[in-house]
Amino acid sequence: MTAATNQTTVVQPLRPWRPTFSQQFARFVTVVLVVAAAAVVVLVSPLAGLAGIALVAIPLQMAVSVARSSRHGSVAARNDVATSLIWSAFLVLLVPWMSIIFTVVRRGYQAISVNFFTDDMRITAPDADLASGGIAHAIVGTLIMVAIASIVSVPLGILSGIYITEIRGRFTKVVRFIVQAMSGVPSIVAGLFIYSTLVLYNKSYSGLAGALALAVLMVPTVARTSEEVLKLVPEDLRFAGYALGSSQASNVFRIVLPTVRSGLVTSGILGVARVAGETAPLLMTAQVFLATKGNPLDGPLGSLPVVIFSFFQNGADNAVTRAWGASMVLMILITFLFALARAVSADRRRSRR
Amino acid sequence: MRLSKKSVAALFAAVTIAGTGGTVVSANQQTLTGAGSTFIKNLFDACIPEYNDISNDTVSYGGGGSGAGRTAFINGTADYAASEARFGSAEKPPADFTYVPLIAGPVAIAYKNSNLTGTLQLSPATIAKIFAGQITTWNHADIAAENAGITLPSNNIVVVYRADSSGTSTVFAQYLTAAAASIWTKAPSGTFVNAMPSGAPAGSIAAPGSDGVINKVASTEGSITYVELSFQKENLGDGVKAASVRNAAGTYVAPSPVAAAAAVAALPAANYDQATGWVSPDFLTTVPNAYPITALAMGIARKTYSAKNDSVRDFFNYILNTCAKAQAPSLGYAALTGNSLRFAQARANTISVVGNPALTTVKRNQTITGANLVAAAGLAGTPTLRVTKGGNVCRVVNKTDIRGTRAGTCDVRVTVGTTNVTLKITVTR
Repeated sequence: MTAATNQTTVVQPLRPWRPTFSQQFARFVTVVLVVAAAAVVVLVSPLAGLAGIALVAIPLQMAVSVARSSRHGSVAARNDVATSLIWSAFLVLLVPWMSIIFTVVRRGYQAISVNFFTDDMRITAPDADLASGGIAHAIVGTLIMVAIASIVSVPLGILSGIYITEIRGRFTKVVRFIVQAMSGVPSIVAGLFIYSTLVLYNKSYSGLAGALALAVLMVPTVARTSEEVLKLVPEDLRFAGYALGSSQASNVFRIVLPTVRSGLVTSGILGVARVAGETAPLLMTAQVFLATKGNPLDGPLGSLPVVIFSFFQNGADNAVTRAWGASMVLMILITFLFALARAVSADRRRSRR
Repeated sequence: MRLSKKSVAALFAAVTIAGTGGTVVSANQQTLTGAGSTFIKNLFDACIPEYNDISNDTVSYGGGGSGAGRTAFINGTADYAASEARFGSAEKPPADFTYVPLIAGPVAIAYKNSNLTGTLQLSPATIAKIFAGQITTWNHADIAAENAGITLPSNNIVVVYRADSSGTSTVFAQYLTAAAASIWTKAPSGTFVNAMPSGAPAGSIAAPGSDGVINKVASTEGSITYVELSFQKENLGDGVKAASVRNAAGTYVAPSPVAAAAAVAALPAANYDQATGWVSPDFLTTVPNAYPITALAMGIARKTYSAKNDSVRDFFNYILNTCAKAQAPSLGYAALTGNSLRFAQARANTISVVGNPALTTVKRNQTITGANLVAAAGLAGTPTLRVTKGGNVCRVVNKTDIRGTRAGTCDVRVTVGTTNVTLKITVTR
């Protein structure tokens, strides 16, 4: 061998699985052809609509992928089949999701106006003109009840997560079992529990009772999620902390918890998402109220899910439009809370680094 | 998205402040909580905002069904309730409750069959056979015999009924028991499946709530159900029609507020229960233009005086005297008139009077009527009065009234029949 050249060449990693442009183009054309063929089949057969097209197109795409295997070899064929399967599954999942958002917006946008957010239904009938009345009472009520429920259940949930993963005391199994059992409790049972204790004792529905019913539902979600999140903390990190001479408490609060801050925020968010749309327990505990008020201790309190329910029950066109509008507000509110919690947790982490 | 703690707090504050742009309830206004009948809910939905507007009170109505309303009233979580069924023997209502009839309305036999043109006519016996599962096709001989001019399709009848405990179910089952006793052999029940003679017919569908059953009918060809008229009217566009029902006079009458009002107007005196205020419907009405399946929704309230109960009385009076008359026809109800209205007004005025200080306070040289004293004592009838203490403060005049003679207090014993109640009367200058 002669040292003929001193040139250094940067070795590009070979990526044989990566399709070339022409392959990608061919694949795209195939998909378009398959969908077009499916559309033709739907036109001439009793199948109808998007579902019909999907029903024909997905198996057809599989068949085409398998047929192409003779030219591209079995690995490429399997890759093609898997790719088209995953993409079809994604699109199929996207359909109901988009459909929900689209339906809620299409049917509810007429209800949205300034007064919808600033006024309540105290002196407005559900079937009255959309220019009057609103759901301020329900927005405030839901925010109050979700806030109280979070204050009660987030610390409780995270602490039980810490008990299970960090302290690992004698009752670890019992706590985990109870948390798992609680997560299966139907929401109406949580409502009944608070109804038969707090509501009957006070002889009055109240926002606080509603919040506590939500808290009962929220605790297991928060506890289970935070347990899963805490399990992700590498043991090495804990050992390192102990090696530096920290106590268990400071290890937990200064090393473990900050490591998974965003995960814990997520657990709180999941808890809120779990309860924000609950109707049955609130009907029994907070019942309905038509005026805006900020006191969760004094009598019934309105909330978005219950307002949606009673608008739908009324059945008049304007009432149903209000119900869709309120559903839209509920969706936006939860999205907003998600974004808020995300932003807050991201913000703190950035400033620390 | 970058947000500090402060901006988060500010956002929440902004949302809260925006929320208070609506009406804020202050302490001296009453907030009334109600629950019960879904039959009357659409009327309450229309009347409550009007009453809130003129009174400064905040009344809410949670619905939930007649049974739930009675329970909430017993438990004290509801200040008033509405129901089409009486308190059951196992229920223990507070001793001072009263029923107040608030509204009447027809229960329609709603059906959907696009191949059936014209209006179906049904006798009580045929309706009972359909809901008992003895008639299973639309062209059954019994239906054909009553609908000579109509071509009947041969598809199956799908019976749709209420899954939840409901006053409407109770009324409909009571009607079938009264008008078709030989076929409908089971006792009425709020849970309709328990009242069906041989259980739910094959292929029948149970759905919760009035809106639930009517939506099922609207989407199921060949189905039939019983539902408040307003719900049938809302679904007319989907081809849901209402059958005309034969009354005891032999006339087929279509459900309408007018036909229901005719049934209520002809109620015999025996159907008015003077003791509790309950008014029973007359399913065997012989008035030719009366619709036989007419339900009466009762308000339930307390006779004991309190500021809240005062508001309940004002609210019920507002419904009886003002709101029902204006709203009932468009919502498919029949407002009470004549005898029934007078009876209802008298009942409403027994709310919040027992122990009401306004009824036992009198100015010097003026009189309290015996009727007020009887009401304040929580009794009914013509009283015998006797001053038992403070004979120089007040005295009995005209045998039934009390006149204050000088400032002070006195005790008056009110006797109706064998019941004695002693009231403390205050005489002011």
